[in-house]
Amino acid sequence: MPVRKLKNYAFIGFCTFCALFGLVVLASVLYSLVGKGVSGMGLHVFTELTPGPGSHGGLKNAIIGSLILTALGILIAAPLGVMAGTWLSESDKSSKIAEALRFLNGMLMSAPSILVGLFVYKVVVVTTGSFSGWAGAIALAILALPIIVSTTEEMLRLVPTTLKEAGSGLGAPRWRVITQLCYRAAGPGIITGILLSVARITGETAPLLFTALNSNFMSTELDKPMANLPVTIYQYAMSPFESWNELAWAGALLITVFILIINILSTALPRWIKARKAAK
Amino acid sequence: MNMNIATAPAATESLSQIKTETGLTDDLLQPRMEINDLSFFYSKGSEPALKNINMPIYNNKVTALIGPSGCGKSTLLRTMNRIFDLYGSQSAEGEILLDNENILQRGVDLNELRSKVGMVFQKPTPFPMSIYDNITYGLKMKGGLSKPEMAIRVRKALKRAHLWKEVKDKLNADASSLSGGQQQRLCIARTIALEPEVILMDEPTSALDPLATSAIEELITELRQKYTIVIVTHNMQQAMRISDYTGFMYLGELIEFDKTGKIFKDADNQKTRDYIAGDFG
Repeated sequence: MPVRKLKNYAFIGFCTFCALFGLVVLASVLYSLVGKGVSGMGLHVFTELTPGPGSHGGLKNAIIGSLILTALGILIAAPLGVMAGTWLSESDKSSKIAEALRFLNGMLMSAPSILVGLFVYKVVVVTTGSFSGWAGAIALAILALPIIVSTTEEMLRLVPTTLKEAGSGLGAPRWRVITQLCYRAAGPGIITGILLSVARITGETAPLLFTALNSNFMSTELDKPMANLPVTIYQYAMSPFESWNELAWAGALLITVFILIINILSTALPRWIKARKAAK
Repeated sequence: MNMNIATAPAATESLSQIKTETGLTDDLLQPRMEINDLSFFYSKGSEPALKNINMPIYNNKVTALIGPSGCGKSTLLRTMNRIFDLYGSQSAEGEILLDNENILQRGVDLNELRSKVGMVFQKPTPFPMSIYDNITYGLKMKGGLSKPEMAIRVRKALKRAHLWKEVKDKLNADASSLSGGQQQRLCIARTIALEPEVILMDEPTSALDPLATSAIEELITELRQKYTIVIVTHNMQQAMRISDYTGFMYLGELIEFDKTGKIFKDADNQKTRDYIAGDFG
């Protein structure tokens, strides 16, 4: 066999091996997660509160707490992020401030989440004097924000300039061009960005450890510590009690399935919106 | 008549010259717009992209701008409704008179200007909304129309753009469901719904197939009776077919401006003749 061909096969073989290796690792993680998670799963997970050490129970308060924290975090981050992304996309290419903001946003995106947790601990928890749902939601919002900012900016930059010019050409002021034309054109992409940020913050544990803490009670009061899945999983998985370990697996499976659904939604939703429009 | 920059007479003078040479009376040949000593800069301190342009835009006529790529045709067109204002670094000097008012002045209401001077772009730019809403978009911006009045305007504009028959049963459909040629006619309808005085067209058929192109050309010829049209085109046959006046531009200068027949058959300037003959560009 000629050397050229040999090199070719060697390279392709190596790439295939690496791809398979990655997939096998991922698959085995999922396999053990599903295997152990399903055995701990049951209606009780959704209906009963988190149990005391060694006893049986469910994850109801943690699930509800997580949903509240995530929703609130996104409610804070989405408007801020979309507006900031809009400003960045509309700013002059040569603008130094925009350049600096983009750089900072990139740093925030890759900042370790535990740092965000500590920051919110210092700013919110210490000043208010207690761990709280608010603090948790704010920490999650800070994590979601940079993702929303950058996807919004990118999506708005994809809107053809001719569309904007056509809007202005019909006498529309700039803010109307942005809100009525650009947001419509970039809407599905912006929604995808928000959904991806939901997926990102759902599983975050570190920022909640110092902020929302955890709670064994059913509580929807945002100024008190709030139960949530990631911290519960963290505590239960580290414990020596088998019933807790089982619940930790069930919780991990729940989060994974939730993230999976969000990811599917984030690709399906824009398509669905388009299809619905075309059908009209 | 030759409007070579070096010897360009004042616009008023050139206008009277045209009138005498063409034998047209005043009320037939009136400039809707007058461009005087216009220069354009893409950024401060850069080389001008347009150099001292002087040119009339006659009422109810089609004026074509031709010239090789990068000669400034589109740039010139984009000064006429100040769409370049969207980009902070770009600036124009000189004056462009519309109804005797210099539109380049500070303090001109741009939104009002753009409802008087409409624009159609190279690629069809339907808004991401229904066909009906595309037409009413500009009308809503302008305000002052009731819903039934709006509906009448939509119908009228679509009819005038020869699109009514094709879309009358699906006015609520998304505009992107139309074909390219239909989309471009929609954009024209959207523009004429505002009843502008002047319509600027930047290579409106370059993204369309021959059939759609001839539909648009026919439309332009018809629209001339009601509107003043300025069209940038790469296609010289098109300029010849549909325009009354033609300006030939080269390297940011208006080399020659005259009746279309004269430019294509018997241009005064050697460069114009070379370009028409296909020697460059």
